[in-house]
Amino acid sequence: MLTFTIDGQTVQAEEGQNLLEVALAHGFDIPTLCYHPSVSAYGACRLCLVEVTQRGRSRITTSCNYPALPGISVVTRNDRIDRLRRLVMELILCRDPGNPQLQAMADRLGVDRTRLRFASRQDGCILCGLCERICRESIGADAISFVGRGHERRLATPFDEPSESCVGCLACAMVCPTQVIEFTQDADTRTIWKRTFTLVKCKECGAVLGTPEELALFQRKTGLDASYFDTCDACRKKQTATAFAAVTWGGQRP
Amino acid sequence: MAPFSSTAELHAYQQALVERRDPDRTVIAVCYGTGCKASGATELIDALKKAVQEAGCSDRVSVMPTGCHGFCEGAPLVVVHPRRILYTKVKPRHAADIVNKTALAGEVIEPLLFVDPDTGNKVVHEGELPFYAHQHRLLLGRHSTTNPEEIDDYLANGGYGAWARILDEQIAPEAIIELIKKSGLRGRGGGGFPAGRKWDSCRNAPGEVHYVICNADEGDPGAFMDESVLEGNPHSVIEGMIIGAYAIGFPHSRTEGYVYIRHEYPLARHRLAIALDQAREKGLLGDNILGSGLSFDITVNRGGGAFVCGESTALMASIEGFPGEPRAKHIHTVVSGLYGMPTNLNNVETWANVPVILNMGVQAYRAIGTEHSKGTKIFSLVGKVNNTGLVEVPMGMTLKDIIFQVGGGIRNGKRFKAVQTGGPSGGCIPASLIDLPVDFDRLDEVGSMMGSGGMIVMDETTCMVEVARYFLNFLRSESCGKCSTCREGIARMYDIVEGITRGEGKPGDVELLEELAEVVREASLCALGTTAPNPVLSTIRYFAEEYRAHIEEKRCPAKQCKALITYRIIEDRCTGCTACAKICPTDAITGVKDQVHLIHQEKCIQCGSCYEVCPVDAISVE
Amino acid sequence: MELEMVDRIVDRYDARSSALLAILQDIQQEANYLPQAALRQVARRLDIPLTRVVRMATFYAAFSLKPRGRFVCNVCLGTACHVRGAGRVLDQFQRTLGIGVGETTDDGLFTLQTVNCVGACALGPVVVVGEQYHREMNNRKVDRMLKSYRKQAGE
Ligand SMILES: Cc1cc2nc3c(=O)[nH]c(=O)nc-3n(C[C@H](O)[C@H](O)[C@H](O)COP(=O)(O)O)c2cc1C
Ligand code: FES
Ligand code: FES
Repeated sequence: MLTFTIDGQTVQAEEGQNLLEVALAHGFDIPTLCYHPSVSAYGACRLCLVEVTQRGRSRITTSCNYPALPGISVVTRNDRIDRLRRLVMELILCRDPGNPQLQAMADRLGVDRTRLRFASRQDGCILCGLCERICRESIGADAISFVGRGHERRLATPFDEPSESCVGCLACAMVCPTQVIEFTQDADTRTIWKRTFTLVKCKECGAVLGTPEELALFQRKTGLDASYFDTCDACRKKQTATAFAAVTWGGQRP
Repeated sequence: MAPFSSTAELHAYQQALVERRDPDRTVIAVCYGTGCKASGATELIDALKKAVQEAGCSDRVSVMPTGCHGFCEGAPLVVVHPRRILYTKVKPRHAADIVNKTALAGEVIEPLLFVDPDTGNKVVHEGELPFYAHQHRLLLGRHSTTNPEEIDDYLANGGYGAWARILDEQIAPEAIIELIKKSGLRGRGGGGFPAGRKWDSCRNAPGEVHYVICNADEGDPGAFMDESVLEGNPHSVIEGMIIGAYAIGFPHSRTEGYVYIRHEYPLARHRLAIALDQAREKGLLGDNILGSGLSFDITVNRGGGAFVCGESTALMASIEGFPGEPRAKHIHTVVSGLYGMPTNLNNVETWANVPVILNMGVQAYRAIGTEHSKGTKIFSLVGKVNNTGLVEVPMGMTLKDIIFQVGGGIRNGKRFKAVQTGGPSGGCIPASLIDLPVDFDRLDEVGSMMGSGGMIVMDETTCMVEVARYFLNFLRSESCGKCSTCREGIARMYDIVEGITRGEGKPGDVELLEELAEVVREASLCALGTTAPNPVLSTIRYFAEEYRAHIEEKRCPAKQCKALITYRIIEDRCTGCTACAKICPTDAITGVKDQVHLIHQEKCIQCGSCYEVCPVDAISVE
Repeated sequence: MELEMVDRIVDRYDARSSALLAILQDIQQEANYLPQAALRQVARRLDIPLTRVVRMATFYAAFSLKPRGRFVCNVCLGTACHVRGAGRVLDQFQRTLGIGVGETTDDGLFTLQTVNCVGACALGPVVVVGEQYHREMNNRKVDRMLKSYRKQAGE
C-alpha cells in the first residue's frame, strides 16, 4: 500500500496501479476516451491529463499510464488542465465533428465546436486503439491492428480483407468509445470486418450463443467441455437445477 | 593471425605496425564518403589504381579510399601524402597526371588546386584550406589519413589504446564513469544529457544483462555527422562502446551491444560491418576481451526509414521487432529499456568522444568549449553556404565564425537570413543573433536546440513560413500517430501553415497556431511531439513580418510560395533564344526565335524551369 | 512468389521474431517489394499474428506493399535538399513521369519515392536511383537523367 494525495485528499493505492484507476475508484472525475479497465493503458487520447507534483517539481501528464507513487500530489482540475483538455478535445473532434459520443464528451468539457479544419477521413475512429487491445489482450484473436503511421494511421484488418483470425465476438464494437465499428446480425448470421459468421444457437431454447469460432476459442481458453457450449446460460441453469433436484430429492420437488 | 589474448600482444602488434610503416610513402587518399562517392569517387579510385599499375609504381605509391574529409564542396577530394597536397573536384581523367606528376615527380597540378574565393590564392596543402584552419578536429582529424576498412590503420595510430590503458593500469569501471563525468561530456544526439551520469544510473540499475546501444539513426534530415564518423572511423565508436560496456556492466553483469543504424546509409553500414569483423578477428570483441574478463559483442540493427525510431523507447521497440512507437518514460530506459533490462543509449558522436577523452586526458578535454558544454561538436553545414560540408569546432564558437569563417559565407553573394539548427525539433535563428556562441544552453535559450548538429543556412530567398510548413509536413508523416495531440495537432498546424503559404491565411491564424503549439508541447507523449512546435514558434517569433505579409498582403517576400508569385519575361533582356519555351512543361511560353517571348499566366504553374534555364537572366519573379 | 526464399531468409535469423524488421528488409531486397504471400509466410514461420507483420510493413517507410519499377527514383526531401529546391525537382519528376509519389509508371520502368536525407546533404538536391547518386539536380537534369535510364532500358 502506498499513500499520496489527489486534489488534497489522501488516498491509498496498491503498487502497480495507475493514477487514473485510483482517482476513479475514489470518485474523482477524469475524462477518458482510450481507457478501459480490462486492457492495458495506452495513453493515446490525452484527455486524462492531470498535474503531478513530485519532489517539488510539477508537470502535466496523462494519468492512465502514470504509476501511483508514494508522496506525490495530483491535481485533477485547474485552469491550465481544463484549457489543455479543451484543446485536446478540439483536436479529437476534428476527426468527426458529427459523432454523437464525441459531441457528448465535448459538451462535458465545454467545447462547443472545433475551430480547426476537419480531418480528411471522418469515420468517427479516433485511433484510441481500444478495439485492437481488447482483440489482442482479452480475446487473443489479433484480428485487427493499426496500419500506417503519422496522420495516415488507421485501424484495419490485414490487407483490408476479411480477417482470418476474427472470431466475430463483437468485443471491439462493444468497447469502441465512438461506437463506429459496424456489424450486422440477423437470425442466422453475423457480419463484422467484412466477414460473415453463422450463428450457433442454444439447443434448448434457440437463443443466440455466438459464432462457432468464438465458442471454440473460449472453449480452448477455458478448457471446459465442448458440451458446455451447447446451451445458453439460462437453460444451463435450468438443467443444472433439474439435475440437482433429481439427486437431492429423487426428482420430487418438495 | 590469432586474436590478441592480452594487452601485451596488442602493444607488440602495434609496435610492429609502426616500425613497418614508411611515413614517407606516397599515398593517394581519395575521400570516399557518401558525398564524394556520389560525385564519382568510385570511378576516380579505379582510374587512379589503373594509373598506378600502368606506371608500374605500386611498390611506392598506393591509392587509399578514406572516410569523409568534410570539405564536400570540393567533392571528389584527393589528398596526396606525405605532403598533403589537396586537389578538389577531381575527375577520372586527371588520374594519370596525379600519379605521374604529383605522386612520382612531386609536381603540383595547378588547375586542380582549390582557389580561395576571398583572396584568389591557390591552396596547395590540405592544412592551409581556410575551411579546416578554424576547426578543431578531435574526431574528424584522422579521416584523410585512415582507411576505415583497415583496422591496422586505426591500430597504427594508437587505436584501442584508451581501452588497453584501462586494463594496463587497472582503472576500475567506477573510475571510468568518474572520468567521463569530470570531462563534462554531454550526449551529442539531441538532449545533451551528461553521459557520465547516464552511465552511472545504468550501472546501478539491477539486471542480469546491461545493454549498451549506439544511436546511429541520425533522423535529422539534412545532417550527416554520424554517417561520416561511422564511414570514416568506425573503430572509434566501437572502442567507445567497449569502454562503455566495461564501465556500465563489468563485472557484475553480462553486457551486449547494439548499433541501430539508419537504413539510408548503406556505406556506413558496410564499413561498420567490416570494422566489427576485424575487431572480432583481433579479439577486441568477443569473449574475455584481451584477458580482461569482459565479454562483449555488438549486433547491428538496420532502421526502416522512421524518424521516430531515433527516440530511445521507439528505438528499443524497433530492435525488439516492433513498430517504433514510443512509450511513456515514467520508468527510465537506464532502469528498464531493451527487453526490460537496464540499457544505456548514446549517440555515435558521444561514443566516439570516449576514447578521445581518455587519450587526451580530462583536463585537456575540459579546456575546450564553454562552461557547461565541453569539447567539440561536429556540424553538418549545408544549405545556402559556400563551403558546405562537415565541420568540427569547439563548443562556444559563434554562428558568425562557423558560417562566415569556416563556411566561407553565403552563396552567390546573397544576404544571410537565418540558420536552422536541431532539425525538426529545433528552430530558426535569425541573422540578428549571428554573434550567438553555439552550445547546448545558448541554443535552447533562443528557442532552438543543438539537436544532433544539423546546421542549415538560409538566405533571402528562403521563405520562413515555407520552412515551417516543410517541418510540419515532415513531422506529420513521421509522428508514430499514437497520441492525439501529436498526430492531430501537427496535422492541423500543417493545415493552417500550408493555407498561409497558399495565400489562404486568415487573421487569427498565428494566434491559433500558438494555442495549438501549447497543447502539442504540453500534452504529447514523447519528445517528437513536445518539440514539434519549435520550427513554427521560432519562425513566428523571429519572422512575424513574413507571416503577416503572407496573411494580410498575400505576398511572399522571399518569392518562394508558388501561389503568391508570378514569373514574367523582362522584355529588354530577352534575346529570344527559345530555351524557356522549350523547357516549359505546360507550353505557357510562346514566341518566335530571336524575338521577345511571353509567359501566358493562365497556363503557368510556377515550376521555375524557365527561370532556371534562361541564359541571360531575363525572367523575373514577383 | 517463392516461399522458399522467405524460408531461407527466416532461417538466416533462426526464425526469431525480434528479427522481423531485418527479415522484411531482406525480403524486399530480393523481391523488390513485400508481396502479401510473403508476409503471410513470415507470420506463419515466426509464429506471430499476421496483424503484427502488417503493422510493421506499413509503419516503416522503407517498405512497399506494391511491386516497384525497374528504376526506383528516390528524391531526397531532407532539409538541406529542400532549401535548395528539392520540391521543384520532385514536381518535375511527377510531371515528366505522369505519376505521383509511391506510384509506378505503366511500363514498369520507374517508381517515384521520396526519402528524408541520404547523407549527401552538401550536394543537394540529391536523387538516388538504385545505387547511383545524382547531385545538384534541377528540372533539366531530371529530364536528361530519365532519358538516359530509358535508353539503358531499351538496350
Ligand atoms: C523524435 C526523436 C528523434 C531522435 N533522433 C535521434 C537520432 O537520430 N540520433 C540520436 O542520436 N538521438 C536521437 N534522439 C535522441 C535520443 O532519444 C537519445 O536522447 C539519444 O540518442 C541519447 O544519446 P546521447 O545522450 O548520447 O545524446 C531523438 C529523440 C527524439 C525524441
Ligand atoms: S485515457 Fe489516458 S490518454 Fe486516453
Ligand atoms: S538532405 Fe538530401 S542528402 Fe541530406
